[in-house]
Amino acid sequence: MTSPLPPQPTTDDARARLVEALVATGAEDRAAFATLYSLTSAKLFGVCLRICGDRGAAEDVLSEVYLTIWRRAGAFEPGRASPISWLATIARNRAIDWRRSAGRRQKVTLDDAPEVADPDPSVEERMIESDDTKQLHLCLDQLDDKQRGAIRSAFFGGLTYAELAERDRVPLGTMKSWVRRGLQRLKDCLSDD
Amino acid sequence: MTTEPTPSASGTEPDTAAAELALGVLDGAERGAALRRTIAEPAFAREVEQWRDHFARLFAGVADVSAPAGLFEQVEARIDGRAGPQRLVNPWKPTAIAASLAALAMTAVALRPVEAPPVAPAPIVATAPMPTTTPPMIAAMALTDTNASQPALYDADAGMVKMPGPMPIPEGRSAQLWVIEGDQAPRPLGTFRAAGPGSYVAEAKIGAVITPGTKLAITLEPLGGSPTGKPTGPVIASGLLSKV
Repeated sequence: MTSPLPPQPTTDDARARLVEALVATGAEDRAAFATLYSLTSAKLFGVCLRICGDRGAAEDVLSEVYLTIWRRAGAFEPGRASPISWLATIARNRAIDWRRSAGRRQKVTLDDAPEVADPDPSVEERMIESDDTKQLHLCLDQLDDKQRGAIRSAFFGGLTYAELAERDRVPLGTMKSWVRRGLQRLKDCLSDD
Repeated sequence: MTTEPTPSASGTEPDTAAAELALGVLDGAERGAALRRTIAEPAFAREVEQWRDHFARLFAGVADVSAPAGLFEQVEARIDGRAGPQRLVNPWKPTAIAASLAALAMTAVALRPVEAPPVAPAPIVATAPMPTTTPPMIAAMALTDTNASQPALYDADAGMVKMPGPMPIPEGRSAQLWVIEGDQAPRPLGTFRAAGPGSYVAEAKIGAVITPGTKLAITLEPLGGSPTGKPTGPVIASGLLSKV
């Protein structure tokens, strides 16, 4: 259905080129697909690598990601979603699917803390961030370390409440309370503009 | 944003189910309950989408890494149906939702009437004014509750639309198909019925001449379809028809 979300700014040239390439890919334009790949593969490979934590797996997943993009590009609605968010979400979901199927066999990935606890963006990175991204980070900064850590781990590691609780060795109810309070504070902060 | 209480939260806690669903922390019954709310409550579905957008901003902090050389060629080979040296060293399996449109096009045969097997097309007589079969058309149906899409196949000859993927139809409701041409009002078509494991078909007498931009939509309606001839329930999927 149509969403009441306000239209997003499209002044950014890079974003406009990306939207153009994505829309043309949806019409099965192979040249546009090649352009889309050259514009986005480094970012999406970074996302796959970040979540899979294994280069070979990330390469397999990236190939699946672009196959999925080719098939789904026709469903992208330019006015509704940010193109890079849309693409990165496909990469994230694919990588988490892989991680889940791999994790069931080798439980070790859940304890692999360095993968999920990455440093906050540097000052330089923050300077080039969009206002929306800055706001999210400002709001995340207001949370407790535990809350922020759990939210980031859930996002980048695809961890569920049960898995987060197991990893941090706290009762499930405690983990849910931490995260729910964190999300509520995040919601208040993000709607505070 | 919605303030309705979530069935999973205790009475004293605020409703954070939309954020939890977008973040992916729910599993089992809680996830099921939240997914059902995306269908039953449009405001909740919008909130989930807003949270997805919020969280997606975290990607800005992920460092770029050059993709390996040759990967794009591998993707192209797979698009063209050339399997290529695919290394499946990991338990990776494409999901049903990612079923390729090419593979789907082949299932068009399953939609043909039994009396006209596609393996033996009737030879076209010189005097025949038109070919006896119309190529199937496809719509990438965007599902409202996720950012996923799944293909729908329209077979003009059979007057049917087939959805090969899973559809979230709650107990006691029907999923009804609509066609929307240009800016005209939605025209009701059939309701979906199961046509095998995870696959659905609905009657769709739209005809063979489809104007560009013709849209298909699926709404949840009372059993048997909308009693008024107009959509009364939430849209669960929509997409534009195009040639295969």
